[in-house]
Amino acid sequence: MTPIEEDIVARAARGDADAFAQLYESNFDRVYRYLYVRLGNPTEAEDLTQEVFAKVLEVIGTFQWRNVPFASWLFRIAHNKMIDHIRREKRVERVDSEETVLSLDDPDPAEIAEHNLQLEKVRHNIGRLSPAQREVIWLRFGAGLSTTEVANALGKSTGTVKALQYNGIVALRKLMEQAG
Amino acid sequence: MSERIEEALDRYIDCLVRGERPDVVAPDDGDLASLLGPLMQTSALVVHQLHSIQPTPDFRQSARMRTRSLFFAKLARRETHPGFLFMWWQRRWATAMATVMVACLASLGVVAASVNALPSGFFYPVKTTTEQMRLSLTVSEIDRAQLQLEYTERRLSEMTRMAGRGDTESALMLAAEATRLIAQMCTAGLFGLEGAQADAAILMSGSGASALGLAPAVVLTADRDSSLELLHYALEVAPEELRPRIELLVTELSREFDTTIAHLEMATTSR
Repeated sequence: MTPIEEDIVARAARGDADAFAQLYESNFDRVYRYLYVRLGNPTEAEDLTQEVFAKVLEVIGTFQWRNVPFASWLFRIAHNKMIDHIRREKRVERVDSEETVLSLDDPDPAEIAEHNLQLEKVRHNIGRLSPAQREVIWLRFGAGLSTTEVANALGKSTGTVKALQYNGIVALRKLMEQAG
Repeated sequence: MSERIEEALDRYIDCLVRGERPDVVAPDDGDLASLLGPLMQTSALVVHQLHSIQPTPDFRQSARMRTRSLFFAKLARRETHPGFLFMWWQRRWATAMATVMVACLASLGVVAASVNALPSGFFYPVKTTTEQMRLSLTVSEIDRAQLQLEYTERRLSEMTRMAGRGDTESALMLAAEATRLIAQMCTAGLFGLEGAQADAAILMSGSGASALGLAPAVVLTADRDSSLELLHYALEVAPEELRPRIELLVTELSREFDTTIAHLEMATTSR
């Protein structure tokens, strides 16, 4: 964590609205995206995104430094929320989504349909990777975390994360080629 | 070799997720490049597809509102419970200081001159300090509630005047202060609304609102709705002698907020 980030988080924990807003704005989209790609349902992703930030507000004062990036801590919360949600709903993680709502600049329905189809293919194939590879790909590509942040979030070394990422992409490429 | 390829791919993905130009990490080694090429292609496709997922503008807006509410609710809860000893000390100290100050200022005629001051005016701090002092010195709960209602009316009137001058920031601060006063009144023993201050104080601070990128009209509408909700609660439990004043404030509050919102919208349109 950079000293600037540490300062922002400390100020947010003390009740500084501007600092909290900075953390919120820089992480909101990626938390939503992470939950969306994991759950495949925009409504559930919206609900859980709000729950994640409510939880962050509740526990931000307990955030421990020890060189753990804020994003790693945040995505652990997001991950735990998602697991709780899946358990609560007593269902398996969705690989195919029923409904895809995307904010695309081009409103052409054919293009949107094509795009949604492609997105679903990617999601479906990522869902077929090993659990460890899948988690790295979701966090790295979906949430846009750095390798260090992913490593801290998953409690793995950066070397392991890089290896999982590499193997995950190799496997994904094969799956996509097979699917045509 | 495998470490080099993992490293090169990682750097490439880093650029992709940050939205930077990825060609800067293209390896010089031909073999490495041929191995990496297809993987880079797959990575680019995955990033492109996943990053197209964006929250809808409506959700973004409503989530901001909710988070902002929770943030200020938490802040207010913390401020509402500073501890008995601290509150006792603070109140005694404030009362003593205020008494000294008002005696000095009254002898100079400054207090009278400050009654119509606006936040941009030189005497405005005198006005608010005098109000604080009167509140500190008032023992009767009914009298305190009367004062809080009176000060709320003042804040609302100031809010409209500042909005009329195009000072959005002051108008937002005054709206927040009016709401805070109502909440303060409702959490007193007379009304006994638990956590009301917390719920209402979410609306405090124009800076917090702007920081979360909310439009002034949205903030003011939320302030108005919450204030009205609190006043309706107060009406249900208020002693008989306070009800007419609260009823009057309900009407005034709606009118002042509507006028303020109209001023600010007009200012935005004319820009």
